Amino acid sequence: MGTRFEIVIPEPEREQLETLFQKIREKVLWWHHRLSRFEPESDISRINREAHGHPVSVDANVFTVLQQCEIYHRKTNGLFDPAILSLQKYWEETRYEGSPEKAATLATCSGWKQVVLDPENSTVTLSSKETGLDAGAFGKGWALREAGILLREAGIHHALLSFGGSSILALGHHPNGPHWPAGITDIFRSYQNIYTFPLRDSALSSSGVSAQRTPAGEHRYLPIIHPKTGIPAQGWKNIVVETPDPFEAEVLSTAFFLADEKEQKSLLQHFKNIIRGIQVEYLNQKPIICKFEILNKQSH
Amino acid sequence: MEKQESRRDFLKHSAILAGTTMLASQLSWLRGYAAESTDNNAESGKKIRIGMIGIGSRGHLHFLHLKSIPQADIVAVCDIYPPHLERAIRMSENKAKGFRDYRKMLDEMKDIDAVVIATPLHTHATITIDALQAGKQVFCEKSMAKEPEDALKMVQAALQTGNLLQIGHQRMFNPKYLRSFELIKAGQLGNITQIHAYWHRNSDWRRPVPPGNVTDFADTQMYPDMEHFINWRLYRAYSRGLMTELASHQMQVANYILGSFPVEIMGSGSINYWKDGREVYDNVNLVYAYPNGTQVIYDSLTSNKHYGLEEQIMGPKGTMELEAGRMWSETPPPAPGILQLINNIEHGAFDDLPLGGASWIPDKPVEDKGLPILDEKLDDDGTHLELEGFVHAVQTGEKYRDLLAQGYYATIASLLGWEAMVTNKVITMPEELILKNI
Repeated sequence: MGTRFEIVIPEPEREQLETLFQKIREKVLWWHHRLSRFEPESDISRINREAHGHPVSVDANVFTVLQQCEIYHRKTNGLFDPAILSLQKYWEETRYEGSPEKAATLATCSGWKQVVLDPENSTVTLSSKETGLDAGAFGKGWALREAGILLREAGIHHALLSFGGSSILALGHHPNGPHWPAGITDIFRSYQNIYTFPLRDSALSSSGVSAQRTPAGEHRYLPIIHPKTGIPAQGWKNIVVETPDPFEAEVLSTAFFLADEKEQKSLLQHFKNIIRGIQVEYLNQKPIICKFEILNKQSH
Repeated sequence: MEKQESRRDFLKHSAILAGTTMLASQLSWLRGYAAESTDNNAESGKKIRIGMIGIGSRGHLHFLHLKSIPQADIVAVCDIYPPHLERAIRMSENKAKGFRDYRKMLDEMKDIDAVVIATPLHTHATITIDALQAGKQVFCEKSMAKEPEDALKMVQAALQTGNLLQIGHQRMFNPKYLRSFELIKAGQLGNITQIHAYWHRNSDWRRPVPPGNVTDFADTQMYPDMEHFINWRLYRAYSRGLMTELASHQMQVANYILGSFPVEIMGSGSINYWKDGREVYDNVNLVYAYPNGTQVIYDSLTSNKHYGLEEQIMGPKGTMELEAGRMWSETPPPAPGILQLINNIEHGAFDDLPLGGASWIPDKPVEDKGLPILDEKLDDDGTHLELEGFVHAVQTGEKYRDLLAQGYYATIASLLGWEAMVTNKVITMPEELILKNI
């Protein structure tokens, strides 16, 4: 998944942990080999290569993930859409200087609306040649969910799992405190925490423009593309969402990122599991934090 | 000239010194440096009187380095090619006496302490042995000789006369390489399981041939014409081509890292691009087998430069690229936030930690540029330091026999590689070429 995966388990039984870690590693790699579009034989790559107009059989587990994507695509009113690969490629190839008109045209003929799932045969068909899948917005969340299941099955009640810092799952709490304190850092000052999520049996996911540095020391602009307009997001913005489930957290951080104010309210009404969330906007490289109004007060 | 890393800079370079402490106990030529770190008289002592034999391109570079070393006094220069000789005399401000024949130089200037030899390969053995027997301390450019037996005779002459013979493998003085060796010996990569070394260029390797008759310059027995005189590296009577001019550097590094010399060699070479009358291969491809089952894969090309020059050292824990000076771990260290978290847990602390990256990272192939082996970029590739090391050894009477063995086995590996290619046979290291007394 092109990023670093880390697990911290504060348990003294080292021997058992080594075996468990290997098991988790294998599981995460298994999902990587199934979901990465850069692995030529992954299910996602086969779909992107062969499913245009033809049903392609996929692994039953992968099919389950794609069904979940469909459900969340619907529940987020189309904001979460992992089937806009052609748009991603278009903007990458034009170095984000392409034509909005061309992007709008691509948006109309790509996206999840062109994906047909057949649950009886576990097949996927893409009804437009412009449609392609990319697991970048959900793969890490799913792999974290699977890793969490393995840990719980092994009787581990306290652990912290992180995919490159942008997807985190916390089991139980820190050995020296009531939760896992997960600080969110400033895009421009990576050493500085701007907000801390007290994670406890919950997950968080962060979506925004990437603060990756190029070798020349510049920030590289890697924006999220709006699936309906086809236009890349503008400005420096970051959304962090905490929910009990890492897959849902990842889906929702993308959806909240793309949503306007009205849509954000609607999302908060529909997703009762959201524990907390923040939106960070940067003005003159200074963060301005806005907390989502949590409509569901029952948790935390 | 660019600023060179002087011995003092080298000593000040704390990371290197720390890194070489362990190596210094193993490598004689570093002990001198380590000892000097506590010796304020490092630059005292008598000046060394040096005669330079062969002052073409490499010899000229050595001349410039030696000129900047306070303890070195270039008192004589020798070259059969007048333009090179005149340049050297001029650059010595007429202080160095010029000779066309090295034997005359050795005869006439008995007070020369040391000679630096940078002549064509086929003349190394004779000149080196003559100089050693004349009581001189000798620095000879790599490779040692064109025939394995001659290289062995050079070692024997050094041992019999008790004089220093240092071979020009500058990587053994290059801080970046020394740091790599230290990390490798400390187990950073695990047991080394493969080395892949290569040197790729895209050029005909020719030098322009000036007008004139070779008899005006050189012994007519040696060179039939100016082409052979100037482009000696391309002809089998004088050179083993890419093997002796390039591969020997990298085979020396491989031998040192693997702590041994190859026992079996197989290879294939050809002239597949520069079909211009040359006799040495324009591409060489070899596999060297070492006693513990590790292989060194070597290739050199003159028709493509895309991959350049590198020694890739691989083990179960990581990879190093020594020319680039970078290393990669098979298991990257934790992110800083995770490291802090682990420290907190271990020390009973509970703080907010910067765990959450603010980034949305798209699914993309991993681009890992690795970590630098040395934080600091150095100008010197080790050439200046190896000459300082030579001058220091002449001053102190050090003999660096372990360094001589390095030079010897690098030469033997190169020459047996050549033999494997020309005979198209698997070559086993001959027992008689294994040094018994170093």
